[in-house]
Amino acid sequence: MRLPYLLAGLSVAAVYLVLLHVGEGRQREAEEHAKQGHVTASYAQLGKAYALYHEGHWPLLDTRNRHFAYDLGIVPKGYAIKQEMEKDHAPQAVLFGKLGRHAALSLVPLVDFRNYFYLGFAVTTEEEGLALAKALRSGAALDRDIKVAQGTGTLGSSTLYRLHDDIVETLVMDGVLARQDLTLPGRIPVIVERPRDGYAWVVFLDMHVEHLRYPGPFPLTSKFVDTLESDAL
Amino acid sequence: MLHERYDWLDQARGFVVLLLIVSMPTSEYAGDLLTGDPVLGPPMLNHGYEYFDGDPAITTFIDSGQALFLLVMGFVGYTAFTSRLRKRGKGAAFWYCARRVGVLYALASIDCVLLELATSGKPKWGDFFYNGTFAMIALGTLCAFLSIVVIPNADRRMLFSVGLIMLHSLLYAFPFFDHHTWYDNILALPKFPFGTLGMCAMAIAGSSFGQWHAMDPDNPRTGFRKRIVPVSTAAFVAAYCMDWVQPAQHHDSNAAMLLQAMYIGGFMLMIFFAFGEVGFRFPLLSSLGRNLLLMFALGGLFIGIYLDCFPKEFLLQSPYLALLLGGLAPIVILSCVAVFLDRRGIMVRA
Repeated sequence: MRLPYLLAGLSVAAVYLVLLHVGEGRQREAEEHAKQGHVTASYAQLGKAYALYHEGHWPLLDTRNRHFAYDLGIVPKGYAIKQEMEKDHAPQAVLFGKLGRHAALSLVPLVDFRNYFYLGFAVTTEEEGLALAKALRSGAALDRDIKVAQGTGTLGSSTLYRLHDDIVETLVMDGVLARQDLTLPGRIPVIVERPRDGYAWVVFLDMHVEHLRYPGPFPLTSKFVDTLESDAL
Repeated sequence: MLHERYDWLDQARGFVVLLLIVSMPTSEYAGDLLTGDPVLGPPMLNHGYEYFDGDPAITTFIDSGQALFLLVMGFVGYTAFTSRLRKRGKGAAFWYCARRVGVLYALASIDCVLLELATSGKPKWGDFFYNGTFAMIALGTLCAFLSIVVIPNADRRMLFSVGLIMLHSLLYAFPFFDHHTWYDNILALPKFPFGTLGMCAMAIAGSSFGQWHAMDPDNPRTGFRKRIVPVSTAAFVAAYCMDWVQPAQHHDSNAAMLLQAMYIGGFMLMIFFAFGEVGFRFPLLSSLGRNLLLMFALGGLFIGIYLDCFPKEFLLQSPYLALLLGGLAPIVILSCVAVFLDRRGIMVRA
């Protein structure tokens, strides 16, 4: 009578252990995926932190190279701690003093900025995005709102507005928006990851993060992404 | 009298209260390793995640304190519930259950609704109903009592508890639900009351421990020898193995954490039972243990306020100052209240 119970118990244990193994594997994959999203959000946080000390204005676009990236020198690179000091790479920064068991650690950039596009201006459609790219190439001043053809500016206006935490109020004051739309920041992309494997992380002005399919709706239309990549370093 | 009160068990309950009191100042003064903010108090007697909240976080036995509390609640609850069932009937037993759960939810309403309204202006309804400390204790207690009625056999009830822990570990293993991690829920996974599920499993396990203790009324050693110690030993091995596969996590009370609480609780009960057998006791622990719930509530509500009176910069002036005001005074103050109540025979119970 005991043998059937033993066999049943062993079977249950075997199934449980197999499921646990499979589940933990899937969990690790999901965590890696989530960490990448978090890294993208952290990169956007650099711009948000800049805005906190600049009356809500987000950083300029790269004025020297005129790329879709944070302007060099305006925003410090975010750092992560790396244990080994690689001899063939000059460290970006070094932490001295004990941290746990380590006497010295090198800091490496948190992200490779070449994998991300910072838009710098409020664009909500492919047309507006392409108008921004055209303005960037044509040498428009990047430290102020950009005048463009009617219908190709922010929300179909004649101006591309620089990213600002109070952009909704500005658009209402300028008559672009009839009334306050608190959902608008959730539709303005700020950071777009370079797509890979058919997806990309996108951070919006309200700092929410989405993992979107590519090609797909703006900002991951193939035409807009091709434009971003052609402008990339 | 409904049932015998065991002093060794009050000693064990008092020890749990002591751990709770000690963990509050160590948490308040945990500092920050990365920024160089100094740590005050013994890290071993604090939650490990306060020092490193990685994936996995550091865990200490303090992290299994809440689960341990539920195990002890289940242990004592078995005797309290079944003695009423036997001597006064079903009505009295279920009224006892309702009263106990009601008092815990009343405490939850103070903690999660009233205090939150006063401080942040917004009650935490999720914490009130199922996710907060008092709600988890209430639900765990309810599950323990219901399981005693539905599964009267202690061995089967323990198997049911183990089944719940296995279910917990599988739900936690797959990326179905959000975990407590250092990065935000970027995958927008739905929440799941992992902590509540874990606490219910622990309370049910505690009720089995309580029934095993009463296995041989003439010889309480039988229950320890045949069940409590072997099961605790098995939990020790299982916790070790599980920690390699699915590291213990305090906030979600995952399987490794629950098994850790099970063996700590089982061995703790054995130790205090053995102390009782040889006639060794700490009188203060009995006073603390007799008003377990009240001490828990008072500690939770007032120790934080007391510690706010002594900022860390003040205590850093001298380690003896830190020991006296941070380490010993909270214990002394609550002990005075416990002894005052005990000497007058006042036991605040649900």
